[in-house]
Amino acid sequence: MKLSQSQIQNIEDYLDYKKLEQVDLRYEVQDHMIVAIEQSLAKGISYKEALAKEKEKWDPELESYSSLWLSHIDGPKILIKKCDGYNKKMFLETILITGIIYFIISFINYNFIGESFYKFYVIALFIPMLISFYLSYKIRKSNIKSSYQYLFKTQDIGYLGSLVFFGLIISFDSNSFSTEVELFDVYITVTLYSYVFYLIKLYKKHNKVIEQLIA
Amino acid sequence: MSNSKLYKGSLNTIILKLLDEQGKMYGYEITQKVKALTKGELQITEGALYPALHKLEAEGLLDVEVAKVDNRLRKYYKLTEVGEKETINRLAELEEFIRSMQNIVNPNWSIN
Repeated sequence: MKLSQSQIQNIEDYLDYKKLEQVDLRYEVQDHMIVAIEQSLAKGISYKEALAKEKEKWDPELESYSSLWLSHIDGPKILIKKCDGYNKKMFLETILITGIIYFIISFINYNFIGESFYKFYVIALFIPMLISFYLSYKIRKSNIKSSYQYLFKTQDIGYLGSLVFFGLIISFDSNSFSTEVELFDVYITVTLYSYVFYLIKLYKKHNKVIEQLIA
Repeated sequence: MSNSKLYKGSLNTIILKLLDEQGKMYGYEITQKVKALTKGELQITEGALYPALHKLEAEGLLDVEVAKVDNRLRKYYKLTEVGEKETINRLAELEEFIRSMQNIVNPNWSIN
């Protein structure tokens, strides 16, 4: 037995109340609740009882939740847990990639001193900055909310902050006419690049959600 | 089942196995399939299923496909190429685990 529009609206109201705004999760939960209620109706259970039962099942998954991996920002548990998974994976990958590169560079005979290399280094540092500013602007302009957009927005402020901070250190260095790029600077740059790839991945996933909605 | 903790570590493998057999499935369908296969012994809760699906998706083992059903959107999960290979590995691991447990609990019983 299919649910009526007003019965579906009750589910929509419940999800609004729980502040589940991210479309990719919202239509997943909504579909689950509708199918489960329809199955209950087929077994002779009343709509009111079936809806109450579903709400009781979903309440713990939609309650306000926070996590250290997301700087303790509150949100529905199902959303925060999903974002947690992506962030943990990204942190581990970043540590691994930067660790390997740092290890390789520290063992090869490198020469990071000189004006031409310094200019190249400054340009290399500005590329992720420009990309992340552009993606931040684009994703914040998007009218459709997704879990990837949510995660992007929780990550990009800290990322852009560290880029600006690092940019200030660079300009301080150039004011003092230092053209030496320390090994630590290279390590930071690799970390910034790893992170900007993560933001690109989230941006692409957000766009995929939009494409799936439109299709 | 009285002690669902025994299933907990195998949930991801169960999901991968089902998707390998069925091609693509949506969340509610997975819960019902598991319930039917285990004759109601194992009931996957929403709180366990969706974090597991999202984790497998984040790991690149699952891909998502969206279809319009009854004028609403339904999210189907299916295995990626990496997921197909990983399913074989994880099933082999699970079988090995069951054999080891069998040797401890009941050495005369056989998985085959």
